[in-house]
Amino acid sequence: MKYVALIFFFLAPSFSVGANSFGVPGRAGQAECDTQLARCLQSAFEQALSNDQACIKTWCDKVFFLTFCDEEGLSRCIQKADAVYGAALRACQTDFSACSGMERRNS
Amino acid sequence: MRAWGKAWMGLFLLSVGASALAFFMLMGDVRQEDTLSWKTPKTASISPVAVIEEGLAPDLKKRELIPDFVAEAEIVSADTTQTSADLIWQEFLTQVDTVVHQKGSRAFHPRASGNVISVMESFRHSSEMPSCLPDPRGAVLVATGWSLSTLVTLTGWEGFPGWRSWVDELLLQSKEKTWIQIGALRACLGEVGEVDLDELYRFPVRYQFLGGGARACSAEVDLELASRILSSLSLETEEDWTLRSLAALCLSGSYEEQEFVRQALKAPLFQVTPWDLCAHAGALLGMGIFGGELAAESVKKLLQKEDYFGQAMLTAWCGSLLKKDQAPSLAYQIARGWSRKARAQSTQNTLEALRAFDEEGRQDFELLDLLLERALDPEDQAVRRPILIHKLLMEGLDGTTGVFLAEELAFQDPEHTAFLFMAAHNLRQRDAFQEKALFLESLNQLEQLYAEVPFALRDIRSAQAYLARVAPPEP
Repeated sequence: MKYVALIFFFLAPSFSVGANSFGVPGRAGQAECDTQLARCLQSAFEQALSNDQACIKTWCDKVFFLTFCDEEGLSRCIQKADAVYGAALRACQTDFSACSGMERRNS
Repeated sequence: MRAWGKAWMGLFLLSVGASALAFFMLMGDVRQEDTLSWKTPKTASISPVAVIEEGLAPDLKKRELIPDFVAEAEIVSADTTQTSADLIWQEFLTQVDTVVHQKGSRAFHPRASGNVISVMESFRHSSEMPSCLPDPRGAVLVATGWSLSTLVTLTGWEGFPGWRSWVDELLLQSKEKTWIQIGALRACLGEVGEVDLDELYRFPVRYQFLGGGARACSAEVDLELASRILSSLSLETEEDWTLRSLAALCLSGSYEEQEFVRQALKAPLFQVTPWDLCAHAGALLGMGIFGGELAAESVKKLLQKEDYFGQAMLTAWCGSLLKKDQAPSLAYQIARGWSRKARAQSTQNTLEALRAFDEEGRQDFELLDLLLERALDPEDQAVRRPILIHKLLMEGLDGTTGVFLAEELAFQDPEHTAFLFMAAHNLRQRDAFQEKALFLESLNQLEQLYAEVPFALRDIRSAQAYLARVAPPEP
């Protein structure tokens, strides 16, 4: 069961990161882009919450009121979840840039 | 005639004898000096202890006789005959300059490795630490900006006799008076005391000078200096901000006793447009620790102000003044008890704590401060950082704290730079001009710090571009 959950966990983020809530890329109204950015960030956050829950379900067992965890596995899983969340936030940035026609400064 | 001739002859012989005597005496001196130079190096011939006891180095006494119009030329030549102590002081100044040049304002941050504080500490504990003050004229030639300021603080902490008059001499000689005053005030606040100056880094203020402990200023001369600093309107440069912060902190220790102190702190505490962020923070930090009934009244007045920016810092620092008889909230007590390794519970714990904060009218800043403190500790796993940041920034629980947390986490680890865009979005929504300026400054520092980390650099530049593109015009 743990392994099924783990596989789901690693697949799930790829759906969330790839999802584009901004619709067709290009220039749109600034307010509209702001709203879409907020929606994208909220969606990334909700995905992050469910990834956290997936980690706990995978690496922890609850016996009555006590929780026993494989600390090493949980730690790795949470790190992975953080990386996925970071990627989702960056996807939101990219989509926002495309939406508002914002150009990045070159290095 | 013969009598005149005898007299002239006598005078001639007398002058020849005197010349010969003078010649032999001179030779004797030279030989004695030669002998000394074989026994001990020249630098060791002047005892630093003797210099301190005498108040002035012998060479300084000589230099005081030099007329002003040739002083500059003499100082240049004096450099060639510097004592070994002066050379060691110069080496210290160079070290400080290097750190400041490399790290910018981050050089004073308590969490930055190799900061100015660590340079000071290693210098003080080294065997090379000189036992006398540097020549004030030599010091002002070499030291500028932060290094001059740090030199003043360090020598003040070391308690060199004649330090105050040495500082006065520096002020006379140098054009960089603000830097010297910063150093002097930081020295007067002491290096150990009840105030934890690192606290000033936890809120968006432009304080940039050395953490550690501090105590109340007690000397009349320090209070007068601090009061003069606050009454001047200058808020143009980074050092002005820092100086005002230290001055307000210095005064706050006498808030209960001195009427002139309360008058001096009136504007920094209550003047709204624009808020004097640094002086305000310095005053609150000190009042929270040293204040009594009068300070409590002022703090209550502040809380009644609409759109008051400093609620979080006020509650964190002055909480004891506000509710002397009240216990901390239940949520605070629970959050305080979380294990640092409670990774499995961290998501739920963070959500519950923030829900309690929201339900209590978003006023339990003691709780918020605790969450912030735990989130900033890299070893503490009890708070789930992404959740805290999202709730603070995107759900508007406390934007100021959220922006600060995003910045600090980004400085800790480049992986966290992804949060910066969210912080920029929050600032855009709130039209927070002063915070925006500080945030942009942090972005510039982060850009230098992560110049070699492409993904972090992209995040930082996205946030910069976002603010540059959509930020509302400055008033």
